[in-house]
Amino acid sequence: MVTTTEAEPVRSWRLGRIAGAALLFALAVVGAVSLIAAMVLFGPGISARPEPTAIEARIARALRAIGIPEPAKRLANAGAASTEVLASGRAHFADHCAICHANDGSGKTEMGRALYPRAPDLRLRATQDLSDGELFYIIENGVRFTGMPAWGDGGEESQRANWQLVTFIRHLPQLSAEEKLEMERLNPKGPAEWRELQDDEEFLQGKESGRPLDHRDGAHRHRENQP
Amino acid sequence: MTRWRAAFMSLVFGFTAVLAQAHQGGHDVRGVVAAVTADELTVKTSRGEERFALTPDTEFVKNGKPAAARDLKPTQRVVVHSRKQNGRMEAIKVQLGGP
Repeated sequence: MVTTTEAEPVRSWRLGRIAGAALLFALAVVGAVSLIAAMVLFGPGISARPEPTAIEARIARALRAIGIPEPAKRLANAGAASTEVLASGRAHFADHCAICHANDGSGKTEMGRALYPRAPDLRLRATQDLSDGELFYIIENGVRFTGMPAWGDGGEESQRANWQLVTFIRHLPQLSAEEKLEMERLNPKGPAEWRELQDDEEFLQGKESGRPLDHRDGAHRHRENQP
Repeated sequence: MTRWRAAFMSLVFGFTAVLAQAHQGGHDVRGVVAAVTADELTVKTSRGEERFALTPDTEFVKNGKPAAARDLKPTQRVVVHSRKQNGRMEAIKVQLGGP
């Protein structure tokens, strides 16, 4: 017959074994999940060229949603969507954002296509369904492990400009061809690009440009001579 | 220290990959329209004729204002900005010359 005092060590030993087995099982699960995640994420190395998997995109969006504080999500756009606010937001977007997001918000730029994750199409529901507060928070604070930098400094001026950007992002699905052309004139350009634009204009007007149209490796584009 | 070095190298590799990708496939030409169909523009340049696919995303501009593919006419001067996509050169933007 086993007395109570004799049973205690046996029970403790059994509980210890169960706990140990559970711990080992948990470690195995974590290890397997980590291994699968590593294979999915780093199978092709650290290259940014493959398309992000659907699982990655879903997890990233879920994490972003969790990462934005609830009070920030509920913030309302402080500025009214006037013509002036829209024009300021459009000019600001052309100057700072279009290099990755494109003037029309499609993300179809050399930079936007090459980022990992890709620059999203801001006209689609995945972005347009975000609250004003979420859009503002993302612009102001950036998103870790993506190409999205933090544009805000917490100051009044940057907040005003970023709310204008929120207004403009809401307008992107209705962007007109005229607005897009106006933005192209506002996109940042180097001296060589300005010169090329001038040469293009002269060529289109029937003048012969004095400057040859050689290949331009440094500008990500390659040009051919006119006939 | 090793961890910081590894992190730095990852950043460098990552940035280099972005730059390498950014250099892919861009191509601009100035020339005259040799032929145009609903989905292709042929431009005569000093290097011969070049074909560009016209897509729904192709932008047409004339005198700084929006234009359309139907505005293209043979012998008209054009500047074509294109990108290699789906094994062909797709016109991103076509600037039209002329009055």
